[in-house]
Amino acid sequence: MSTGFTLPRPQRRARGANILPLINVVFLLLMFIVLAGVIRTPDPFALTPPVAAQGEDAPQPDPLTTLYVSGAGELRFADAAGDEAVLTEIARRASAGELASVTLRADAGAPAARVVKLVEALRSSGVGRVELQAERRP
Amino acid sequence: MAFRMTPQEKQRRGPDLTPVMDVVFILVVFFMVVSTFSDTLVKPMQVSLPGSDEPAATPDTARLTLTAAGLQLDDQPVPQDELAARLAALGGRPLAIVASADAPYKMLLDALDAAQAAGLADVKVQAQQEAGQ
Repeated sequence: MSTGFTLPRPQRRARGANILPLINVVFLLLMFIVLAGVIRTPDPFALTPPVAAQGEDAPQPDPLTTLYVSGAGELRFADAAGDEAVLTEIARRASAGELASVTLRADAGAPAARVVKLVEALRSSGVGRVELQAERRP
Repeated sequence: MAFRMTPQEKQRRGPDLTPVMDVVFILVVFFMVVSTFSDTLVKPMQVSLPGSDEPAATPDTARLTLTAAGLQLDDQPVPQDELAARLAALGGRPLAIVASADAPYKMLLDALDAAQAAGLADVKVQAQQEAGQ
């Protein structure tokens, strides 16, 4: 007759929580943000563009060809600020053939007549195409 | 006595992923802060320039005046929500949008939107001449 003698199983050391699913989710989140988001150059001053339903899809705006107009009518184009400096810079680049089109990003509250006069000034400077930028109406 | 994992135990448990998670979380926060999901569009704009070779306004050109007080189509007040229907009723007549000094830019975009929705092809924009000009 033999007596059975069994050793107790060694207790497994408690392991930390499995973080692999968390890593998967965070990587997916990262991929989504990288693919769906657009890194946009910040506006030189706070402005809220108007909304519109009709228009063409805008590619990523090029800050070097975007004319910013604040709600108070202040202008900024590339490194130039102020009416005279901005229009001089635009005329210089347009005459050098570097500026076929200008995107106008203006605050919704900017005076409309000022925007129209700016567009006239741009076309007089030799800019062939002027585009008004807006947010798509949801 | 300090606890140390044996090489065999380290191999069994795999590499420590905590630094990777730290970096990935920082990347997620960075992209969330600098990314934008806003949907922008552009409208090509045509303006009438005095003295240019563009044809002058014809007598049948409809005139939409924008003021801070509201819209006027051929000197008749028009509610904003009826603008697209009234422009569609023009039957393809040329349209001149005249922006007064006190009208906000948002109003101009709304008018251009309505003109486009109404299918008007010949739309000009001009600033209202101020008194004394």
